[in-house]
Amino acid sequence: MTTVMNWLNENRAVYFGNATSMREFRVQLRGNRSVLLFGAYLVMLIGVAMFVYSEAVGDQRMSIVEAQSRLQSFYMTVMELLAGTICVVAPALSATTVVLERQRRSLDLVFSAPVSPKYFLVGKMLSSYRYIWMLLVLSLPVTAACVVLGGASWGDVLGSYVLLSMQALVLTSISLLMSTLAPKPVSAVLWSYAACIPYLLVTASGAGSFLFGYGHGHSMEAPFFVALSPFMVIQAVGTYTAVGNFDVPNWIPALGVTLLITKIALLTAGSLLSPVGKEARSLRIHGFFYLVATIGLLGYYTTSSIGFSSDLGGTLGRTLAWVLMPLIVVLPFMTCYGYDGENRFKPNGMFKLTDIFKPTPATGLPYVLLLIGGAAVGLVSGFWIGVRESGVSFLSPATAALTPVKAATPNLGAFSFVEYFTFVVAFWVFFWSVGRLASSFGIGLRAARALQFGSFLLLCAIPVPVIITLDHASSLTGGTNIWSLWALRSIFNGDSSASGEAMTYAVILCLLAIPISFYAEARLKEMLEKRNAIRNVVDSAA
Amino acid sequence: MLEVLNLRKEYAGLTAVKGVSFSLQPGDIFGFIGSNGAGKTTTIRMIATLLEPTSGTARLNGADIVNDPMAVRRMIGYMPDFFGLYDDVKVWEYLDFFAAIYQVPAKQRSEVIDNVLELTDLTVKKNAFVQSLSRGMQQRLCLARCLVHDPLLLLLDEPASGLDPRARAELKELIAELGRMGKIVIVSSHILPELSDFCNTVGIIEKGELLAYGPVNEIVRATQPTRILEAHVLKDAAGAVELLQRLPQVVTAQATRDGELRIDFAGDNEGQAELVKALVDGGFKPIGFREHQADLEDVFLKLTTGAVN
Repeated sequence: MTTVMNWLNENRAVYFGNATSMREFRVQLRGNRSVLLFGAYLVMLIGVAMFVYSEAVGDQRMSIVEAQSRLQSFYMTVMELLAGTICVVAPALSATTVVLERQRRSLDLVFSAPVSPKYFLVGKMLSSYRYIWMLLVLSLPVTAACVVLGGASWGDVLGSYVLLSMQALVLTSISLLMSTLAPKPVSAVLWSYAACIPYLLVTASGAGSFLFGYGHGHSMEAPFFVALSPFMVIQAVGTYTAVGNFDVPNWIPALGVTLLITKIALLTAGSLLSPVGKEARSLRIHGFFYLVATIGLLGYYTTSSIGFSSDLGGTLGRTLAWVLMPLIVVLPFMTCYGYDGENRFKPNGMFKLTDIFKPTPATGLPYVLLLIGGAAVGLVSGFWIGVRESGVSFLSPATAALTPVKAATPNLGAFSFVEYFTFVVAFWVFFWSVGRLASSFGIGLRAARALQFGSFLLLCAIPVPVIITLDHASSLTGGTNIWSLWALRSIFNGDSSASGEAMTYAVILCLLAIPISFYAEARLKEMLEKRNAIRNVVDSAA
Repeated sequence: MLEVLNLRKEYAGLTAVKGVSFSLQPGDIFGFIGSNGAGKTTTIRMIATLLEPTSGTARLNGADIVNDPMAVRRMIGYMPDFFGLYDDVKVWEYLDFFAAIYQVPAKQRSEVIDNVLELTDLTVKKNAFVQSLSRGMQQRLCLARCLVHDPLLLLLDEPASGLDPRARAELKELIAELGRMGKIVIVSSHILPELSDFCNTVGIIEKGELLAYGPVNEIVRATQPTRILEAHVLKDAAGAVELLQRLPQVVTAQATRDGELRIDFAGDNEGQAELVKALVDGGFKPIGFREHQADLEDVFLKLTTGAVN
């Protein structure tokens, strides 16, 4: 009971009485500057709206249907304008918040107080987010005009505002993370836009390809990710996902995903700010569950596209390999060790299963294996649920018609999946061993991480132009050719032989990883002995 | 009570702090002396829970800096060697912000702010913007910030750097007052005269190693086993030196150009009286005689080599 009350009190302080947020907001709204900015924003919004309205409707006579259509397009333009404003303003507002504190050297003052990184970051986020909300509220007169004129309903407007504010939250949290990482305010702004633009492109293309592409008819049923793009809020606002007999509005799962992204971004930022590393542990726990859930959702939503595949196991295996590729960004932070960083990055063994979520080099490999296993289970489970719901056949209709006997016992391609799974495990174990080796040179944590990342590029990216130069006629897919020298070929190759190639590479990578990791351990032992000898000499001299 | 136990901090190829240990009681004002780069700031930042020690720990009233940093933070006020002020807020807003993050109840904050402003003599600047304050005032505001939650331990890293003599004197008075209020104060500095006036305990650190630690007079006595006496005779200083060198308790004696005698003396007060008598009996006419009081500067120069990490 006391724990629950403490948790409630802590969260009340973080979300409702946050001093950082109050201070920031007080400064934001001080003086005439904010009044002038808001005024200019409102004038610009009304001006653009009036211009668009006069262009769309004008004073010519038209039928009611055409007038309705033009008013709708007017409303759409206004909402696109709002979305654009949010995409520009949200990163700009939060990108400098943490980096300026670092530059001002006030972070030490804050963190010498009993303040957690969560308290500080949520405060920063709330102050930026509140500002965005003020921009949205100020735009209400313009969108209300759309309702009055008949271009949209109040439900549309409110729904769109909810979706827009959700996306503003994501952009704010991404920018906050970049602000924690960046060394200078200018680079923080640039990094924030560099991180937000891919997110906006991916969500817009995902939502757009579904909403405007093949398969989306007059039904409002759509995958939830259509609600993740700020530029598609009008189209996404009425959509829903059928879960059993229920139609769940898409803003609900989208809100869940938004909060998860926000949480991950804040945890990552917190683990960078925290000197004692509790946030890093929390990040590992959340990272695992979110990865499994996200990949599960991916499996669920891709049922229709991969369910007809003749090589189901292979397709799922390749999907698993692909979705885990971003691991390379975090792997160096989990596997490398050194004495020039925080205590948690000091060598503490090779493989430690206990306390797997504690961020130390010894738990790096177990955690990576846990992620791979969890991702595989998530993908297959999501896919299986999707298959059960949609009743998709495991064989393509053509194959099923030709081989009615086989259709009775569906070919799941489990062996192909196992081969790809083994490849994925071997691939990451190999890079883990490279990280251990790089660390054992004693070149420092940062250099070891760079070396590990560089080795990934060397093995995965650099061979591509070399192979193309050597033999541009060979194909990435198909039988054995020069592309077989490339370790990643099997995940690009949809042929039936590809899983076998993946297995071959799995064996090769494992055979390389084992001696590399043992050699690295021997080097580490030597390094530790030298280190202890030097310390003994220094201590005895003292 | 503060106990610092074998605190050590290593960076790549560098040991910034090598097993520093000391303990302090409420009311102690501890002068942490060392050259730039000696390891003072690193030690202070570890006690402030801003840096994780490589090994060792510190405990404040039983709360451990490694295992329970939040509990330690509630009991400390940390003033770094830079201001880190928010320029765009008013003085009371600045203090209100820190009172809030130190979880001072909202109803008490106004009174607390008034009290610390009065203590630091900043009441008249309550509604001024932080950026409009002079350097000395900003320093006092930093100190006021450290006091809003009534901490047990104050960590003041180079508090007087860059201050004019008046501001420095005011700050010294303020720190002495805090000691009288029963707080443990750790003041780091490389300007020695400013520390010797109000510190009752000092620690001298060089290359991350605590070379000496204890009450000021004990350290002086420990590092200066003999007394330096200065005498002036009316004439024949060289003869006086000759006489003095024959006395058993005199380690060395020498004369300066202007006839002053500098005597390294191993005896006590009784011995000093005997020495003066010997000079008079020897026909010399002493017109001045005093014991040179060794200070922190002498001790510091004697103990340290000036090397840094």
